[in-house]
Amino acid sequence: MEDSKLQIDEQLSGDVAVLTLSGQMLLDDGDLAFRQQIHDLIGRGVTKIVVDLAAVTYIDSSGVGMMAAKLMTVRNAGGDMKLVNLTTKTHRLLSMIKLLSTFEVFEDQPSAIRSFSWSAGTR
Amino acid sequence: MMSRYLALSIVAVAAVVLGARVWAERPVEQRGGPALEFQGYWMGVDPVDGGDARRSIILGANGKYALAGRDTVFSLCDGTEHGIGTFDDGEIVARDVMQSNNLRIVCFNNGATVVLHSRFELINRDLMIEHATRSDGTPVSTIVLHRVSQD
Repeated sequence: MEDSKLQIDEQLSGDVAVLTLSGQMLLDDGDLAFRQQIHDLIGRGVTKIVVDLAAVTYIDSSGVGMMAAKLMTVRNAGGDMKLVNLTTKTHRLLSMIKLLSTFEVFEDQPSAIRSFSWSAGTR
Repeated sequence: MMSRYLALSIVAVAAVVLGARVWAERPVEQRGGPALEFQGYWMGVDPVDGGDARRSIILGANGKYALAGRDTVFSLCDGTEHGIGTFDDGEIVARDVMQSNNLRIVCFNNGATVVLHSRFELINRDLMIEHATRSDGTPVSTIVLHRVSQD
């Protein structure tokens, strides 16, 4: 998907994958790239995922739907997907459609990565 | 007296028979029930992008529903309104639920096309919810639609 409006950069921090998204997550474009990336990670056994949304300029209905759907996919695989660096627009969007309470949201990447150890420690 | 009674009886029986025929000849969808309720012009707002969504739905002679819809924001069409969504095979699949697996969204500006599943759930006569999903069930959009047209 060379011409996708969404670019996804992947970094591993221990057993946590950090996906830094930039661009737009749209119907039949970025949403499919995002889905593929999540499925690739799960296929490699990586189910602790942090998604950095700082550089995402636009998310449409299908992008939001895909994020919610993949959150369930990851949780069903025994992991979790956490969001960081929400822009004001993205924060307002997720709040408006009541998805903020569904995702765990953090201010920065280190906090989100650390939270996976806390979760593991309390289980 | 007897002939008067007979005449009244004939009139009464004729009225009942005629009334029953008129009732039987009315289209099913005009007698109430879920089938008629989807037909009309509906409007709503996509809560994600703020786009204005309009849907024209009619019941065809073949018993299938046809839809023509437009949005003021088609992300598939680079965020423009230069596109249309259509299907002509909508079916009632449950009480107050109509769906099509062939909602085709076509962009006029860039030629892009995508086919989605769409499901319409009536809440009451004037309110329904449209769910659009990919073929694998991944949600694409959920829009509350309000009936605009009147019978």
